[in-house]
Amino acid sequence: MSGWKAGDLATPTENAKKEPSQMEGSEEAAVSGNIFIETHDDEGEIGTLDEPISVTLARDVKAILTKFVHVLLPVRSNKALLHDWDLWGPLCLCLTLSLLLHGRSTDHSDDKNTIHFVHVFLLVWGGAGVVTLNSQLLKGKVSFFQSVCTLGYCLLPLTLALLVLRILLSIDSLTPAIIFIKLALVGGALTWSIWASLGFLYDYLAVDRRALAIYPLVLFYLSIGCLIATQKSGLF
Amino acid sequence: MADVAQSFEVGSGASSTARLRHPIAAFFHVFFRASALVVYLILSFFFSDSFVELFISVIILLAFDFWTVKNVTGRLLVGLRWWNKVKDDGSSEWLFEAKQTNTTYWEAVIFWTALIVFPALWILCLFTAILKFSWTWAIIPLAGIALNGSNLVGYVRCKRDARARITAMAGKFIGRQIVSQTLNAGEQT
Repeated sequence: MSGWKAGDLATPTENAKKEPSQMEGSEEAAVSGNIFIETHDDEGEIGTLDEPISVTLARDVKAILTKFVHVLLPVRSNKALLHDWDLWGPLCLCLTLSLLLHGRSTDHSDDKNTIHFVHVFLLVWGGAGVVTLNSQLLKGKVSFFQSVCTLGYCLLPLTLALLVLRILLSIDSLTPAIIFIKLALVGGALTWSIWASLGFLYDYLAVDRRALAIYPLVLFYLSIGCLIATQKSGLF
Repeated sequence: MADVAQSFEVGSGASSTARLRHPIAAFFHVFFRASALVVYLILSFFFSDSFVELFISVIILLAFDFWTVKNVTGRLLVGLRWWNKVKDDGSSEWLFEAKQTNTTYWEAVIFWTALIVFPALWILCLFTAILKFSWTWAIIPLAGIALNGSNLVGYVRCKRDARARITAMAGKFIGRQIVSQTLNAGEQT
């Protein structure tokens, strides 16, 4: 709060009662200048209208990276993904996932290919939307985008599994043991994804209907897991 | 205090000399959304084979545009910014920031025109895609409408909120000034 001067226009009691509005030094400024600026985050940071672009960028990048770390190291009490949602992570993961699954056949002009890419894309967003809608209809206390954000970020283990799988397949896809490796990899990633997403969402689901809300969530990750498990060709 | 100085400059007609205070912001405000649309139009007409590449590039351009307009150009060009914050009970809350200082006429024109025109163009593209019965192609205009449209809605609500609060604050300010004047008069005597 740069230009705050005590005893500005309002009496101290009025100041305390007010929203964190910014009254710049002089009386004229109060009329023509920064009349009101609201807080936007928990640190009590006031006014983001004058920050340099690098600050904005750094804050968002940091928020995204933090969320990825929280998905990989899920702690039950952590609500980082829910506090301020963004859809950057889900978008990146969704595009990576669709692209990696799409590269199944090398023939790019094949029409089946493009459908496949779009299917994965729609499955991720549509699926996350439907799971969210379901949990909302069951009176879960989580907003739409919060839930989509969480479900999207929790695709990270599955995406990593797909990446590892495709690298393994491109090294050696003929070993009989590859099927066990595949199952272990996808199974592990699936458990991880479900565990992570429940770690964030569990407390927000309606207490008496948790199973009903969790079932489609498991189904959502399972369907993506199945798509990954049927992967046959390598990356290169 | 720089803001106060700026607000005085605008008041004294500096806006007519400096037409664009933030030419780079104005450029990128239009650039990302325009290039998303152009890439979509050109490639959908000439290179309909490369759907996946097109899809990814348009989505990424749209996402960049969304971030730039929401976080950077809005506050630089018209001094507005909107946030959507979720409260603990799961209900979402709109927060608006606004200031009246560094807005020039042309920046406002560029900002609002681009904000309104592009969602409208995407709606046109959507109709074209539907008429061509290409459902997979219709997804890109849908994404364009969703990402450009949410910024439009956010800023329209932000503007409305700012206007309402200016009126409220003006009323409050006059009232408070009377109070403080009477108080001062009381102290002096």
